[in-house]
Amino acid sequence: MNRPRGAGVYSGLPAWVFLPAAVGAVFVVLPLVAMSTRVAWAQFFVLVTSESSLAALRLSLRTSAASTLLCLVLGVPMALVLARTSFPGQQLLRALMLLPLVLPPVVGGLALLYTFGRRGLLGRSLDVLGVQIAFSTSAVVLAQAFVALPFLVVSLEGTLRTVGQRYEVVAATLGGRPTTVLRRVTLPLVLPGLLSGAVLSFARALGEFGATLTFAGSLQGVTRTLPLEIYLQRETDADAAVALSLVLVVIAVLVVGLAQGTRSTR
Amino acid sequence: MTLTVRATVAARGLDVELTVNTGERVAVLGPNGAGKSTLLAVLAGILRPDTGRATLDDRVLLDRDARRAVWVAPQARGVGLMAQDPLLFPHLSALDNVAFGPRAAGQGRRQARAGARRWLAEVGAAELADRRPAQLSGGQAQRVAIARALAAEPRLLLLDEPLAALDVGAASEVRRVLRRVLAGREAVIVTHDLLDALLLAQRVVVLDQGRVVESGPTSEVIRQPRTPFTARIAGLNMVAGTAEHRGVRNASGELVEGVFRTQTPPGEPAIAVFSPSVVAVYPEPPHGSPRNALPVTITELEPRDDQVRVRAVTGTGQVLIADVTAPVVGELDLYPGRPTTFAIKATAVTIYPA
Repeated sequence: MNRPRGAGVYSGLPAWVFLPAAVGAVFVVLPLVAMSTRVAWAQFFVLVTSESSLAALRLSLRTSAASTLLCLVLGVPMALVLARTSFPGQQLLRALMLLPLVLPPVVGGLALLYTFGRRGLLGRSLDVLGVQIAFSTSAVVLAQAFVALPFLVVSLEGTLRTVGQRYEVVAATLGGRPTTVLRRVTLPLVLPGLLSGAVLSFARALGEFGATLTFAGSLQGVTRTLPLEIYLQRETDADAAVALSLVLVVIAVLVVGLAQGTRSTR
Repeated sequence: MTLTVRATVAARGLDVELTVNTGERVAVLGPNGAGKSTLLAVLAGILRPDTGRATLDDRVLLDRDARRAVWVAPQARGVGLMAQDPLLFPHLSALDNVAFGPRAAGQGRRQARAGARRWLAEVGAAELADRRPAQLSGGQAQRVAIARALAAEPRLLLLDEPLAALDVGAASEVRRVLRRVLAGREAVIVTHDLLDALLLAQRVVVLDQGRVVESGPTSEVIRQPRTPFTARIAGLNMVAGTAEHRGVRNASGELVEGVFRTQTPPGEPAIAVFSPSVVAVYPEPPHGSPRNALPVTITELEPRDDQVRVRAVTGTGQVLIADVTAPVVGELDLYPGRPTTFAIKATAVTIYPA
């Protein structure tokens, strides 16, 4: 790999590093290839356009978009507070905010159920008001936002810290009020991090399974998102499951590509 | 415009008082870590001092001593800040950078841009209006930053080593612009550079370890430095000690004879200064010459244009400098670590009270 092949910077890596690196790459790509070999291409279009498939796809895109929006509305202020202020217990709070990243999604779903369910902490009050969240499309959005929020917060907080406060200080000495500075300086500066965070959140929401199943159930057109549909189809119609999986892979690839794109334009 | 400030910041060892009068530009000099930038941060409103009070004209900017503490946020102070790094907003064109202040003050986009164009022209950067900061050279970016700071119409301008990051050519260009646009304005200019103090400010304040150790008209402070730091940037050798009949005796007992600029009663603290160019270097102590002879050890030789600067320390660790011609270094076989003697004619030494 160190052979002088055209122009470029000498990497300085020992040759043996390339072997495990290549094995790792194959490990990620091979299962996707294996799956695509099982796609029944002849019926592919029919399978992915069946009523239940389309309903699941539509629901997935809709709820993922909504939960990404929710992540932005809550996550941007969270990242700002974590990155720009210091207060006692901040480290602990940050650790708690990251919990959904490492928590099994089923556990997250259960926790949400005990919060928003009919007998939950908030659910009881909401029930009195005639609002029922569990096992509704709103529950899907909440479940997705719960697991996706840390992606946005972590990504954005990192970008905020990298960009630093120097530009904000200058903007303030030029007479910019805090809201003006946030809108015209801070957010434009962190836009790449914000976009890649949003894209990652969207991707995480799209793939959400455990928390959704636990907290929202699996009701066609209402709470049965694409991953749930795939899991269900796997029992009865493996071809449909594989075809839908491929759709999800394509969407995921698009989303990751988009995130890479926003990062490299920085 | 008159600024008065008194502030202490315990964490950074700052304890200063400073006044800037109408039309006055004050240079703040001092070694690294002396508290210069901390002082600017306090004035700009970025840092809350532990105690202190600052007023700009009749307006209180901060008052930590009053029973009801006053704190005016940076955006409401009318105090502009320019740093070593121009810090132009990278996502805005040069024009919109300059228009930022007027826009923040409530002007419409068109009006703000028209004003910004005038300010860009003022600093000779009219043709850079549409460029992004990444497309500007260091000197161009700093000129745009000057226009941006002025466009916000600050009542007081703070400059934190505005030329330190520029190469020599760009620095002199920006210095020229600053000299022009600062005329008649009030400013506090932190600098390391004697030239900046001379060309941009009428008065200097020297900070050391968070305290004002020297202050006065620039030319006077430079002619009669009172601290080793000021002596160094003024390019002078300084020996501090006690006045005697014919000179100053330092702590290690050496007498430096010289000419008294101001009468100094014997026994009083006094300072002797002399230029490195009047120091003659001798391998052995000279005999029977009407000169001061100070035994020193050479620490460093540094070529400067057609001369060599010889740095040496006395037995008590005081640093002295001599400028000699290059052949002398060879003839006398000077090298770091060599003991030698610095000789100075008494008539070339100026003495004044400390």
